Amino acid sequence: MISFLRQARDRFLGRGEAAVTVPPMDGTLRPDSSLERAAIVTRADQPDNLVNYGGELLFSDGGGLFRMEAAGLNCRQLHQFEEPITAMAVNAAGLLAIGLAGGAILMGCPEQCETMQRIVHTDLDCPVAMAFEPQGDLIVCQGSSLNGPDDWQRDLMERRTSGALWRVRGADHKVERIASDLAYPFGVLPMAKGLVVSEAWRHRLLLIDPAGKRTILLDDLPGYPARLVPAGTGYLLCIFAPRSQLIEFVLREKRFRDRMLHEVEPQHWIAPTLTSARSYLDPMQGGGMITHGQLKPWAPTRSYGLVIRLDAAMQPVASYHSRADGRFHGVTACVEIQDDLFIASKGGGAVLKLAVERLHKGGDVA
Amino acid sequence: MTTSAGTTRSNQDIRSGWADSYAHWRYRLVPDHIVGEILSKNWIDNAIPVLTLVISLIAFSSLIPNMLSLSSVSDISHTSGEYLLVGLGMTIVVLAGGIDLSIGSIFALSNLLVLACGGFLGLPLWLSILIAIASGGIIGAVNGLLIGFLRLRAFLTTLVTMIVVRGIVDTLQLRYSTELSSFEIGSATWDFVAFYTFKGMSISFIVALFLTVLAHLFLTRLRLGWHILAVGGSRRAAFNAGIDVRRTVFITYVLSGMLAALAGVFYAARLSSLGSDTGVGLEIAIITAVVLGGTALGGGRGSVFKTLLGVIIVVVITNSLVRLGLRSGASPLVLGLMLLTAVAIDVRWLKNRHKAAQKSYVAPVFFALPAMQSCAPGTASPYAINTALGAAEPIGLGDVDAPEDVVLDRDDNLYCGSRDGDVLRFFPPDYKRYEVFAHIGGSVLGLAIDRAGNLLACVGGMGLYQISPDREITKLSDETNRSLLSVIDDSRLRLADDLDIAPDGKVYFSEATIRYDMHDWIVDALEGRGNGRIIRYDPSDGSSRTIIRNLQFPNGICMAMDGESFLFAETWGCRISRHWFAGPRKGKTECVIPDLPGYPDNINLASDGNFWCGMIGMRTPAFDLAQRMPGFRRRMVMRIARDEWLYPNMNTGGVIKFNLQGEVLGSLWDQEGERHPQVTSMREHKGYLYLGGIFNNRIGRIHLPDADPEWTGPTTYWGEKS
Repeated sequence: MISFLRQARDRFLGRGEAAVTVPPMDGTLRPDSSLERAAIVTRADQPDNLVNYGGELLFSDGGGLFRMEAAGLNCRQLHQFEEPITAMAVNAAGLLAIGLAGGAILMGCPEQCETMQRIVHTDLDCPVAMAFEPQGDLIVCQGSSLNGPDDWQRDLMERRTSGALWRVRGADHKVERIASDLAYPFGVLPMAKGLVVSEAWRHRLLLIDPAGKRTILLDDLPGYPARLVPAGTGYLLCIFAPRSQLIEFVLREKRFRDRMLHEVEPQHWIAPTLTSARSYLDPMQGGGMITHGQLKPWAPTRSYGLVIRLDAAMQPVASYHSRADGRFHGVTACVEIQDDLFIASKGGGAVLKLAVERLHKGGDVA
Repeated sequence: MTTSAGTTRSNQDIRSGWADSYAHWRYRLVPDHIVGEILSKNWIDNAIPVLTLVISLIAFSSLIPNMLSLSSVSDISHTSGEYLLVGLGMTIVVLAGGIDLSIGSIFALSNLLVLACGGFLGLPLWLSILIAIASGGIIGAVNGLLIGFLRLRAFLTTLVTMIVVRGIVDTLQLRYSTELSSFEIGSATWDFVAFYTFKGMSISFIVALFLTVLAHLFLTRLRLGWHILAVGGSRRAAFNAGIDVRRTVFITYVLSGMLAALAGVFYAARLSSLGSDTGVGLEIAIITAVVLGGTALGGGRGSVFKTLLGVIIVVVITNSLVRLGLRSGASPLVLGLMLLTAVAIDVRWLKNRHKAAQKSYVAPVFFALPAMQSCAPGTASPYAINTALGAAEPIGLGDVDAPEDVVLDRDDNLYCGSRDGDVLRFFPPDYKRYEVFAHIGGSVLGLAIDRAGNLLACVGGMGLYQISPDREITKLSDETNRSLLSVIDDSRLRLADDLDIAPDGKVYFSEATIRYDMHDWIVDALEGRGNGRIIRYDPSDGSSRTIIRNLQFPNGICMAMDGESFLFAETWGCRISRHWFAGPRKGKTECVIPDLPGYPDNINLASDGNFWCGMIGMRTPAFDLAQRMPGFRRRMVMRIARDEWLYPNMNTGGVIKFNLQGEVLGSLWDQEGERHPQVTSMREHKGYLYLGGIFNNRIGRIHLPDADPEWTGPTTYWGEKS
């Protein structure tokens, strides 16, 4: 009863749960334009799922699997799948795992896609991120059990927490669920202590230990986190969309959301997006008005490009941005190969390359 | 829309329909905007005291029979008169940032002195009264010297004088008690002062009322009064402004002492008694009255009329408590509680009123736009988005700021307004050179050229102005008739937007909104209410009259060239209407285009007899939905930062051409939004179209291949130059 009253009071006064607060991009997250200045390795429609395959870069673009030769100049298509590739992972032995939008998981060698092993499980139909454990098992993030990978906006706007973590075990590919009720796990990283999951809709990194205990490693991110990969002694975390006050507010307005989901086309929702391309039908916020021919970089935006470098303790030490007026938004994947940081801007349609400063490599900038 | 016609309505649709009907009626019947408007009024400070008075009057008159009878009122008026006199002095002191606790003792001393001088010493009455008042003035001067010149703490100093004076009074009273009690002042004047009432009002009350009016004039109209308020508002700023702060403070205490003494004289006349408790606790009652009335204890804010109100409340309540037969002690207790409440309200109110007014000012209502016309690029729709304006040649790039409207004269000169309050003139043929034609001082939002070649301008925040060819600026109109029921003063023009001139010289101009100023104009989009109006200025007698009210951001106005009607655009309403001001249909308004896909701005004539209309932005499905959910918009305004608010999409704009039948003949857009993301105005002139934009740093010009290369606006309106 008291909690009900408190909720009612909070809703009325805009406090507590009803408060619309977004953590600022400050300190190590101070905006720059690194991503805008990065070299464009290749243009693609919706590049995603960058993996280091023996020193070479593999990435997906829709259903296409591509390979970037070492110099990063020559880009070759290895295979075209019927369904979009939604997740990829490589193990130390060179085994590639591919997750498809329909729910199938394929394992094998990238050069022989036709002969890959196909694993299908009815409850595992939205693989959005994968990683191999050191002992060889594949961890799969099921983003949502109610919405497909393309419907991630709907999943957020419906405030779903139906994601799960699955393990594909052994040679016979036995599938088992390790964790459930996750708010869109969009990245996973096996570590000695357990699995680190980036829980997108709760803007945090979560450690799930083998006993199932959950610990928050990094909280209050200013955006929705996607893939998490090791880099040097630290890690890289992709933020695929920014949080904004208006969207946070809409997330607290159930009746408006219900009607918006029902009456408005998804691309024109007040919801985060991957791409910075603007339409005349998009919702516009006051600060986002073009003045004197310019969109301000600090304008409120539904899309953003951000990669955060974390140290060994999962704390941010550096960040690379593409701001509101930039092009390379919707960064869903990145990978560090030797001294190059490759970044997939799914919304901006490009694979980018940043020469990594030695300074940041160890995660120890102090 | 995801549901297509023909399928059965889903539960969601039905729910939405109900919600819409509810919102429609709810926001139609309850005028939410009045809350914010009332809260931003200055007189709202008096709301709580007035309410307290009304409630206590109702409560006590229901508890006590005959409470409002004549004898009872006259009883109250005696006490009120004395309290009010003391309260006036206290108000003056508090307004200057001080406090005077010694008034109760001064009151008692004055009572004693007037009785002693007039009775026991046998001095003439007028002299006794003067001595009594002078004694108050002297004690006040002591207070003033200590606090004003020696800068001691007001609270402690007056506490000390209170005790010292009380001591003197008690000593004198004890010493001469027998002498004092054996004499009485036998004077008809004295009795008259004591007992005469005029319509239930005692002499003391009438005098106090008279002095209240004087004190009000003193505080609001005289130099010293202003100084007192300035010192109370900010001592340091007052000092820096050259005000003699010490003298000002000194004077407030002298006035306070004299007024308290005068009250003591009336008390003496009324009771002729030398009770030892005369004036005890008076300071608490008076401070309560002053604060309850709404004068801030911090100084600088308040008035004597507030004190009048506070005094009446205090007297009514204490009097009623006595008559209710409450035990002695209850009255000071209630008074103390009232003081506590009043101080708390004073502090909270002062801190939050402005915030509350600001937060509740934006008051959205339900507004459902008709289904959206398609403007998908590459389709056959007359609205199909294209990139025609992306090629516009820039004029004055970087030199102009916010050229909302542009106009060309007979000599091909190009005029535009700017945010700096200038009217700029660009010279033909290439429009590379320009000069400041005139400085008006406000944002120029609408321009037109009259028969005599004068430039008429609607200036945001200022009104309708005329600039003659030799640059003489004349104000034509800055006010119209006040409407009867409007809370905010709508006689002033807040946001004159666009104008056009009828053949008879009358000027029809729009005022976009009466609720927002120039810098806030776009916030009006969130309300969805008809806040704007169209006004007619008559040059023959210089008068202005509102002719159409409750329009949703009326913007562009253009004569329909039939001599009896004009077209006007309602920006947030997404429609264009026609109004007849003469002829058989006089007074009628008819919608020409009800369902524009964007937000129309200025309307102007095209060379082929049709009309151009600028589009400042586009409708978006999300904002259209928000327009149907007023509660959503209200909470948005309260919860999130201003830059994050949802607005119509103003990053794609263009120009449409339409005719009087409402047919849209075509459109020109800047799809990328790089050069002309918002088009607020356009003028056709000799085969070119000139474009203005309120957020732009340029004027655009595109060639119109099919247009008449000789056509100009002034010639079409006023004929060839004579």
